[in-house]
Amino acid sequence: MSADNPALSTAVVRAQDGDEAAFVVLYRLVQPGLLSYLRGIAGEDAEDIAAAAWREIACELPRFRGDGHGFRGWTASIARRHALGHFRLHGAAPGSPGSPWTPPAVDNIAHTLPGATLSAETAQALVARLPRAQAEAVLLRHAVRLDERAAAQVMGRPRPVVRMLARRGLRSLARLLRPDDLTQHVPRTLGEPR
Amino acid sequence: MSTDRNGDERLSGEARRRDATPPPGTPQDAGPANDLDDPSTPERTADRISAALRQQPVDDTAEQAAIAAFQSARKARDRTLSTRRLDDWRPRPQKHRWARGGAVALVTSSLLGGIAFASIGVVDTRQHNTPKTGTSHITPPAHTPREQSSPSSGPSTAPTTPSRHPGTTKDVEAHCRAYERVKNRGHALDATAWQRLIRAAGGKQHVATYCAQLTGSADTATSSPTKANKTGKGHGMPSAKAKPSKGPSSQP
Repeated sequence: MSADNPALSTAVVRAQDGDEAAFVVLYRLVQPGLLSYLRGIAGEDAEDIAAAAWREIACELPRFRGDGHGFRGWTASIARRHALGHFRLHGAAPGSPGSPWTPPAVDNIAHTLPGATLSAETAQALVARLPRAQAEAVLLRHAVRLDERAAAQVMGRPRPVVRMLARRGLRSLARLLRPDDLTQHVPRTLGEPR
Repeated sequence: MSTDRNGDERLSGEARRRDATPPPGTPQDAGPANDLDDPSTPERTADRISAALRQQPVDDTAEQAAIAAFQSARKARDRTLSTRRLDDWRPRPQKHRWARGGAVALVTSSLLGGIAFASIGVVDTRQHNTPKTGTSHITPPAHTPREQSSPSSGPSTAPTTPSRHPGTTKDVEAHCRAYERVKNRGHALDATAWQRLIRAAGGKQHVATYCAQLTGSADTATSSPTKANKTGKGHGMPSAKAKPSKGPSSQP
């Protein structure tokens, strides 16, 4: 799915043999997407959860079998497990009414032109306006850059459901990115919290 | 009536036109709808979102913490770390999918083929049965008396033979009856029907016994008065046998 998967594959193999430089390489390749994914599903606690996830990744690295793309999926599933444990300890998931975390304001998107590049904060704020399952599917597909099968495996949902969630999320994002009707309501999945 | 209909048509036509005009007439609605229908828009959105999300700044302290965890894990590592199922992210071989698809295709095709084959059989038996439907209504009464009479009367097999081929037996009986009258009339016996009868009997001499067997068996099945008549005919058969012996003598 992404061009740096071969580099990641070799870095994973060398890091499994104990190469520290290779571990730094794979960290820098994986961490941005992983952190973006965790920000989307856990909000402000993303850094803490990412730190805990990386501790486990470093310990369990010899167990891993697969290529660079598989490594992205493996790390994402570990991060997700930590995020769910975090929710269990600290109560509500982000986006639910009891959550201390509120999605950042997106008023500045009104100035975003259709062709202009988005900043990371703006993109994160846009994704945060989606229902949680859609946001997670979009982030796994386009931030972690997993394929559909791996995203479904991480989320523990059937592939058609993940495909539908990602498609709906992208459609909502496309609607949000249109400058004329930013105030448009994002349709939510039935039974979705928030 | 016709004028009303015309009026209705005109009204409905106008209504249709009224319904049809707004979408192209209002660009405010049409523009966004086209944007949403355009498949490139979500893809472009995906690209933009993906590119933006990957610009996340990497925190140095977090990186150092991860590297420290890696170092400590490397020091404390024992060689017994086995790969669990959730650690195996190798791409699954495509062979399994092909094998499963092939198995599904095989099962489906054999199922459909079996259904098709069975339906052919059903059609065939129906075609064979349809001429028999007339007789099938007849056969149950023919069977039930047989079952009732079988304990009492000996010749139980006799009624079954006419019930199997009622048409041909009737024909043969009719031919037998007519044979007596026809046999001396010149070349009448050269006709195909008579030749068939003679062939079935196994020769001109055996026609009489053959007919006697047939009519006699039919008589036992039907009733006693006809039996008396037919037995009379049966007695006449030897005389009929004697007639052909006279025939060749009179013919030359």
